[in-house]
Amino acid sequence: MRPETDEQQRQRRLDAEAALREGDINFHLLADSIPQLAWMAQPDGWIFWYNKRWYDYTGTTFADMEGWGWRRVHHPDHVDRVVARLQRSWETGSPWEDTFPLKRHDGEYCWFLSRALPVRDDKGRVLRWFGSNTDITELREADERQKLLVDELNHRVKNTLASVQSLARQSARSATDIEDFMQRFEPRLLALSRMHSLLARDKWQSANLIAVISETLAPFAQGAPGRIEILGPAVLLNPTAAVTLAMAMQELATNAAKYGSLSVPQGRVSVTWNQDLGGGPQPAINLLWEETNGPHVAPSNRRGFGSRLIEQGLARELNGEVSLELVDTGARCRMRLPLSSKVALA
Amino acid sequence: MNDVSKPTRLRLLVLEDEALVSMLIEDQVIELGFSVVGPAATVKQALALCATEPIDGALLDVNLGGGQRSDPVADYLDKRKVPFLFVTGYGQAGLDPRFADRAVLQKPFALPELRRELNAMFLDPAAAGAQRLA
Repeated sequence: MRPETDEQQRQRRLDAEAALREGDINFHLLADSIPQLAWMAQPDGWIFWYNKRWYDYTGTTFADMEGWGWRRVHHPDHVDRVVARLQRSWETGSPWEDTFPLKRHDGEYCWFLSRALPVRDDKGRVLRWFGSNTDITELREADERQKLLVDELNHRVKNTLASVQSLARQSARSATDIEDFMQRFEPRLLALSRMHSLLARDKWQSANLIAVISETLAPFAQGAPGRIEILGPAVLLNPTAAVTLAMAMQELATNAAKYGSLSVPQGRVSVTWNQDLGGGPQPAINLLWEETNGPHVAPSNRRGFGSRLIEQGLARELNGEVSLELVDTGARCRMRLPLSSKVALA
Repeated sequence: MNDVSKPTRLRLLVLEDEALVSMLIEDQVIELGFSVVGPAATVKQALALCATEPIDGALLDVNLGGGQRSDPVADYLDKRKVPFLFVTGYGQAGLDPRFADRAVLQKPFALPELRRELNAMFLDPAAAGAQRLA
């Protein structure tokens, strides 16, 4: 083989240097365009390089950060642990991973998932460490939100089970036998279930009063088209108020279908409400359940689950005033519901 | 003066915002031989009852809807050494840290569990110093 001329040697050196420079440029382009903070350390952990994003995020300079200077952007509650675990990796050569907050240029802390891997020569000796920090603040917040949601869901399920327990107990109290119990219990359970479907549509934020009443009375309207009138301005109920009001409507309608205006073809029910403009101390909604054209109903002092729920439970929960009377055409129920965090004008 | 042969029933304040659940707890407490004060559905209603009714103990729901919690009522009772029990769907985790060591009954519960907790409330030597809020 013919020896290289001086000219060829020079050209080869120039090519190699150009390739190195190009590699260097490519490396920096890559290092500065990735979304992570990145850095390189000597085998003993002395950090000698950071990417641009590190400086942009922390608002620091290389002089601040070189070596072990990075500790100043760590949170005081975490820095000792972070240093101890890093130190172990430097000593053992095992990959490092940790999660901790880093201080942003404006003083705020964001959470980072951080990793470092050793680069080794062909004899297995560590040449340097490559490290990166990935911002996981949003991920952590999403985790936090999910945990809250699961807690909230669990709470709701437990309360719902207690509501079902209550319905079972109240139904058992007046039932004459098991069949009678089921006839009382099932429609109540289904009314509760329909209300859950309605509330789920709005992610358990609130429900519109008109929807709560229409949904609850729908099974009663099937056999009585046009006989149930529901009318009033837009009012929003919180989920527990919606459930309580729905159960109250369920009881009134059941009673109307058994004994009141919905027990005869010509009978009618109207549920209407408006804003109380009477100038009371607190703005409120006035709601009226009225049955007309019903059969003659003998006034009764019988107080069952329905009247207890309406006169006591609902009145208490919504801090309202309720009157429930049997007039000769059926039941008449008036509710004055003060506007609150549970009942609001839409 | 009370007739010793007919001991006065212990009076329990019930604080629970959801109407159906409050009716259930009311029935259960009565079934176990206690008298119910309330039930109250809000902190305001509960504190008003505290101010006017004799109360020997309380069952307190934790979250009262609309963002309200029963903690002010627990504080009020605690200051007057009236024993109370939290009743909640969240379990221990939903309690304010200052009440973390308090008894909690997880909803839903059956009569024997409630009886056990109420026995602990009134028969426990620690509760011996408990006072009626009059």
